[in-house]
Amino acid sequence: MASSNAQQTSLFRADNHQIFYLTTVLSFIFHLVILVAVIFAAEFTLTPEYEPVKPIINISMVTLPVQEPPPPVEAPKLPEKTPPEEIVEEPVVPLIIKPPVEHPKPPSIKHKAAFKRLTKKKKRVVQKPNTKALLKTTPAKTEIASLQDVMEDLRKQVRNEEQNMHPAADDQARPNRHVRDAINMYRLDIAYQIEKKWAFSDQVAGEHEELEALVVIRVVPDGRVNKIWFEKKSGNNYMDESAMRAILKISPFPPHPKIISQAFVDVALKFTPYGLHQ
Amino acid sequence: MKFSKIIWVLFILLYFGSNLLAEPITIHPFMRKIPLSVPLFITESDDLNLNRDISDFLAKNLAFTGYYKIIDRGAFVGISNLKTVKGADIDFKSWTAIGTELLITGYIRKQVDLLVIDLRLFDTIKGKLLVGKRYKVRPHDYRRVVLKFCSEVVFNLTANRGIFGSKIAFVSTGTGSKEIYICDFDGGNPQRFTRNKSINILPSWSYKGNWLAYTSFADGRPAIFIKNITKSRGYKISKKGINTTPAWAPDGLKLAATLSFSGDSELYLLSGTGKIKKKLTAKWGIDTDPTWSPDGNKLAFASSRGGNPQIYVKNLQDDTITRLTFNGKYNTEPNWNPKGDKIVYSGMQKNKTHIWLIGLNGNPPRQLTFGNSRNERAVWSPDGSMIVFSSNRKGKWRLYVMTAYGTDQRQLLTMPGEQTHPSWSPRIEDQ
Repeated sequence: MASSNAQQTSLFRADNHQIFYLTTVLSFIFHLVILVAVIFAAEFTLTPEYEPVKPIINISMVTLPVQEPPPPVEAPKLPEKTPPEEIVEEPVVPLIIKPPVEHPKPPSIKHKAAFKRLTKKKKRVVQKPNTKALLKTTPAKTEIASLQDVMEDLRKQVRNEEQNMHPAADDQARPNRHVRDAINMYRLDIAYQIEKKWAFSDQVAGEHEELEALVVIRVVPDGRVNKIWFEKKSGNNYMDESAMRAILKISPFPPHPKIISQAFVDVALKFTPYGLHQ
Repeated sequence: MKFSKIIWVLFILLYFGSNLLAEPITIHPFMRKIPLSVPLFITESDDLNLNRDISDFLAKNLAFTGYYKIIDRGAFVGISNLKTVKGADIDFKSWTAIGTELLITGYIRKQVDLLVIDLRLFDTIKGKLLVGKRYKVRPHDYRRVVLKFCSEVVFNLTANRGIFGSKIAFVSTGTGSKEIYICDFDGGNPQRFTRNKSINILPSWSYKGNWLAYTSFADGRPAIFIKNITKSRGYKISKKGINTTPAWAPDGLKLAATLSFSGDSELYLLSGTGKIKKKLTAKWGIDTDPTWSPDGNKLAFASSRGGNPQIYVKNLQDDTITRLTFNGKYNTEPNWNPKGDKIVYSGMQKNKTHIWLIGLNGNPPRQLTFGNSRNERAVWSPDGSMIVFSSNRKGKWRLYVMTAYGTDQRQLLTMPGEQTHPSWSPRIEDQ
C-alpha cells in the first residue's frame, strides 16, 4: 500500500514536472509573442495611451507664447499714493530654442518607439559601471567635488586606454568600450554643468520631508536639448521648476564628442536638495 | 532541473528586465538662493546719485529677505547698458550666462516735481516680463514705492507679500534706561517710542499694527501700558502685583497677559482698554509668555505647573491644556508662527539658552541657534519666512534675524547700548 502510494506520488510528481515545463514554455512563448507584437506595434502606432511615461515637459514648450498685451492703462494724475501703473511689454524673442536642425532620426515624433528605445537604453545609460567604480574610489568630499573627481578619473581612464590600445588587438570590442566611456563622460559633464547652475531655496520650497525629482534630458548631436521629461516629480512645484530652470539655463550643451555616432544621448538626473552643507 | 532554472531566469528577465530603472546621476544645488541682478537704473534726472540710491535700496531690501543672492554689478559689466530697460532690448542669454535667473530693470525720469519710476522684473531664463509697474512719487518718497515693488517681487516668488512695510519694536539701553524703540523691518530708521527714563520691556503689536502694549516700571512696579502708535491715546493696566507679558490677539483688540493680583501669576484675557474679560488659567505656579495661534482659538504659554518651565497649549474653545515641550528642563518664551503649525521658543540646556523650533504635529523640536552664547525671545516675521531674536554672541546683546530654517543669521542693526525683546509688527500698508 505504501509502495503503491509512493508510486502514485512519484507519478504525480512526474506529471507535475511535465505540466510545469509545458506551462512555462507556453507562458514564455506567449509572452515573447506579446512582447514582439508590442515592439512592432510601437513602430507603427502613435497612440498616446500606450506611452508609459508621458514626457511632462517638452523642450518646445519653452518657446515663448505670443501673448496679446493688455491695453495700456491711463497714467493716474494724483501725485502721491496713486496705484502703480502696470507696465506691459511685447513678448521677447525666445531664448533657448534654436531653429530646428535636421538630424538623422527625429526621436520626438515616435513617442512610444522613443520610450521603448529609452527604456532599453536606460539599462545601458544609467548603469554607468565605470562611474560607480570610480565613485567608490573617490574620497568622500562634497557631492560637487565627487562629480569633478569622477569626471577627471574618467578622462584619465579614456586617455590611458587610448595610449595602451594595440592596433592588432580586439578590433571590435575596443571601439564599443570607447564610445561607451565617451557617452558616460559626456553625461557626467552635462550633469556637472547643470549642478553648477542649480539654485534652490529651502525658504521658498517650504517645509518638506524629502524631495527628489528624476529628470531625463535627451541631447541631440549638436548639443541641443531635444526633449526633457520627468520620470518622477518631487511633489513640490518649486523644486521641479528649479530643476527645470537649471537645465534650461545652460542649454544648449556642448555637441556630442565625434566618437559618439548616436542620434541622441539621454542623461538621467536625480535632483535632490540634500547632501550638501546649508 | 537546469532547463527549468534557465526558463525561470529568462522568464523573470523578460518580465522585469525592460522595467529595471538604472541609477541616474545625482546632483545637488550649488546655490541656496535665487540669483538676481539689479543693474544701475537708467535715469533722465540730473541727480545722478538718485538712480544709484534707488537701485541700491531695492537690491538691499530684496537681499534682506534671504530669498535672493544679489549678483555683484562687476559681473555684468558689458551686458548692462543704457538699453537695459525693456524686454525687447535685453539680451537674456547674456544674463543667464552669468548665472542670473531674475533681472530687475528701472527707468527714472522727472515729470514736473515728480519722479516717474518704471520697474520691471524679468525671468531671464524664459525671457519673460513677470512684473512691470510705473510709480509716480515725490523724490523724497521713493523708498515707499520701491518697497511696494519689492513686495510684488516676493509675491511673484512665494505668493506672499513678504515683510516689506513691517516694523520691529524692541528694547534698547542706549539712553541709560530701557526704552522701547521702533525700526523698519530691516533695522533701518530706529525711532524712540517711550521716553520715561524707566524700564520698558516686552512690546507687543496689535493685529493691525496701530497699537503697542508693553510692560513698564514707570510707576515703580510692573504695569501694562497700551499706546496708540501715532496718536496720544492709551490705557494702563496696573493691578496689584505683577502686570506683564501682554500679547495681542490676532483677530481683534483684545490681549492676553499675566496678572498676579490673585496671589498667583495667571493668564487673563483683557479688552483693548485693559478691562479683564476672562481668567484663562487657574493652576498654582507661574503662567506667563502667552502667544496666540493665528486663528485665535489657542494660546501657548510657559508654565511652571509641572515643576519646571515648559510650554503648554490651551484650547480656548474646550478649555483643555496640553503640554507641548518635553525636551530639556527650562523652556519659555513661545511664539506661534503665522501659518499656525510651529512654535519657536527659548530652551535652556547645559546653562545655554538657544532658540528651538517645534511643530504642532508631535515631531521632536529642532535647535536653530548654537554656540556658547545666549539666544532668546524669538519672534516670527508677519509672513513666517524669518525670525528675529536677541543674542549676546558678540558680547553685547543685539538683535539678529534668521530664516525660518535657522539659516542666514545676521545682526539686524547697530546702535548704542544693548538691544533685546524684539516684536515684529504685521505688514503695515502704505507706510
